[in-house]
Amino acid sequence: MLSKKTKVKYTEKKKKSKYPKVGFVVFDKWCKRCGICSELCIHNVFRIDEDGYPRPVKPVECNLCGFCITRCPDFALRMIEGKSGEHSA
Amino acid sequence: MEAKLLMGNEAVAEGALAGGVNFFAGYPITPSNEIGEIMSRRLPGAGGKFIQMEDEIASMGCIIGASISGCKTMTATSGPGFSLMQENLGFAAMTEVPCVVVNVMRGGPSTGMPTLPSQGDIQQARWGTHGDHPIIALCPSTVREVFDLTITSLNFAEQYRTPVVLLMDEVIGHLREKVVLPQVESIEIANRTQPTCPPEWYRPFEDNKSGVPLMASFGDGYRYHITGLTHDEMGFPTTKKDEVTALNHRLHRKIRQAFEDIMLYETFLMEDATAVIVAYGCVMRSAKSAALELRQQGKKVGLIKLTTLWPFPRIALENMPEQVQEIFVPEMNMGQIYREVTRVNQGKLRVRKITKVDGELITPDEIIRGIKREGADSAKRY
Amino acid sequence: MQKDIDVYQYLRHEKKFPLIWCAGCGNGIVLGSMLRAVDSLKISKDRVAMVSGIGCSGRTSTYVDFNTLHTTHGRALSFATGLKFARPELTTLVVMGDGDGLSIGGNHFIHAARRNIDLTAFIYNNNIYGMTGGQVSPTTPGGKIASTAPMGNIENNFDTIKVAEACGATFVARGTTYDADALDEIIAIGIQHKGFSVIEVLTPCPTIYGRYNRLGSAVDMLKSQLDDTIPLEQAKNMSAEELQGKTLTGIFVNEDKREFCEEYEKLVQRAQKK
Repeated sequence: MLSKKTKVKYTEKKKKSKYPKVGFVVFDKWCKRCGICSELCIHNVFRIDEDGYPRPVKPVECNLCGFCITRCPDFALRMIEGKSGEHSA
Repeated sequence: MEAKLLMGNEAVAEGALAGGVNFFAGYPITPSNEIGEIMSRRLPGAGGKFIQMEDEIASMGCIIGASISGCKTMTATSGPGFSLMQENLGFAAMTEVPCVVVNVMRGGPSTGMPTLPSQGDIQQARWGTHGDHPIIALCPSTVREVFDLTITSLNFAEQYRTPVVLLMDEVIGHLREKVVLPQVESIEIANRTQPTCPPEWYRPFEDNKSGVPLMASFGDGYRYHITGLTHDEMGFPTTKKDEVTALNHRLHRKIRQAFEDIMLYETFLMEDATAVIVAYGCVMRSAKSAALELRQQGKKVGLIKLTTLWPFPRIALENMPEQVQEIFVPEMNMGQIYREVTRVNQGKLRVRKITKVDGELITPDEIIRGIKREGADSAKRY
Repeated sequence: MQKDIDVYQYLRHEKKFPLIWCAGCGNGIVLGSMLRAVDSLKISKDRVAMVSGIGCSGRTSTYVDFNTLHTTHGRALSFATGLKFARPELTTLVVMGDGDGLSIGGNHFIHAARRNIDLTAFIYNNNIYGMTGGQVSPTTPGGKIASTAPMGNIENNFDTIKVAEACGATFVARGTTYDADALDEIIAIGIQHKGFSVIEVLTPCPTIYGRYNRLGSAVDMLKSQLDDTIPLEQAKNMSAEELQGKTLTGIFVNEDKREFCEEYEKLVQRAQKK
């Protein structure tokens, strides 16, 4: 299991997407597990893990609407362009 | 300079302008109205700002906001308005924002007697707002002194980053006297110390030798947080024991270690006095006549005039000549400074109070009769 | 993408995070909107002051890297008036809750609007006193449950928009946390507006208001904003029946009137000519 204190990065590697590649960063330390980002995403990019934190499982589906980012009440979610591991928040 | 006929309230305005006030917010209340009226006439021409707020709560908030952005600020009010200001006065004490509140005391309790004098707000000035914080309060007895103490109040506020209360009474506020004001150049003006360090080094509530942190103004590039919550050195809320204790102790220390500068009092005829009158404000004028009169009658009476009321100038009473046996405290309340005098005196001398709360000034005669324990006066001796 | 990039530089994220608010509280969403609006206007952080009152909303000022002042309960507008009047060049944002701004601070609200001083006042409306545990507030709708209205609120509630409009505010708008994108724009227009701007933001309080009134999870409450509100433009073509029970959003008032600080400047010039 991932430590709650670490910043977790996810990016989709395999599937080709019509949108630019995008990664998400979830600040577990700030996230309060309200579920807004995953519930309101129309493309189901996120899945809630067993601890209740959102995990971006299908970032390739993301159409960059930014809904999840702007509605995160805790600034715990960032969207980052490019491949996994290139960015730190 | 030539002599002028000035009213006490006018002298506040003159003192404020001479002392550098450039922001005044107020709400009308008798008997302090003239101060706001004069400021509204004079400040715009002097490049200052005047605003009449919707109530005293807002007036106090407004001057705190303006002081935070670098202005020298003042408001004027009277009893009921002073009660409304208490909440934000506490905020100013906690966040160490310099500002001056003029309270022209009128008859109380409650709405009381708006046009008649009293000295009923002395303890309120000290303990009116919740929480344990120090404060400075000064009390003038003459119109010239009103002018001087207005400037002193402003200086103290800036020097010690604290709200200062100028406790006038209706008699002094509406008293007209011939006054010679000092040359503008001779007036000493103190200003708050501002930081010169780079913004990222600035610690807004950092302790130092004086206990008075450097104060940056909003908009000067030092972005920081001010809160009425108990805060740490950076200004952010905290409940950590050591930080809470440090803040509370510093707030008291910064005033305590400046006691000697802040404690203003005068003594008259004390060398051979056996009885001493302790008086302040308008009562001091009657007390002085009474002392002179009693001396003519052969009773050796001295006088201590308290100018600073808070922190209580205990040194004035601690250095009493040996032969003094009695202390009399005439007041226009039920004995508010009397309490302080007995506290400092610690039972060493006999302390008597002479009180009067009928909305009239205590006359020299009443003080004399009080001291001689004669007759049934409206001024009661206990 | 552009939504993401600029918010963090305005936050004191190394000092004060995570936020104090409950999970799903809308206050953080409003804060985000506010920061994006400030960013879009390219105002220097040194030139922005934020004044807040007491309550959940009052904590907003702690988190942003502006000149921030956290004042006493309901008095934020009076402090802000002093601040703005003393330094008109500062963009001053005033953050209040519904109880803070309209109940204890109602008088200051009325008069700041009347004075038309160039402040941008935010009313975070969560219909309840959150910080103190859920007491009834001036915007709690009739019949709703609160800790001091356990059998339902018997009082009528304020319509912030009408209050602000009647008091003379020259910019009056309402947004929701659900439609944060529209809120970004409303706030940006509100900040640019010269005069007293009131922006009421409907923000869900799932932990207290939601629980008392069985309104579901944070997500449910946020989604219900979509169903319960109708943008002003859309409402124009709707019948009164269709609008029954709906809350309108958008910009209600946007007009020019003489602004206090500017008028005072003219007065100073007149006084100095004499």
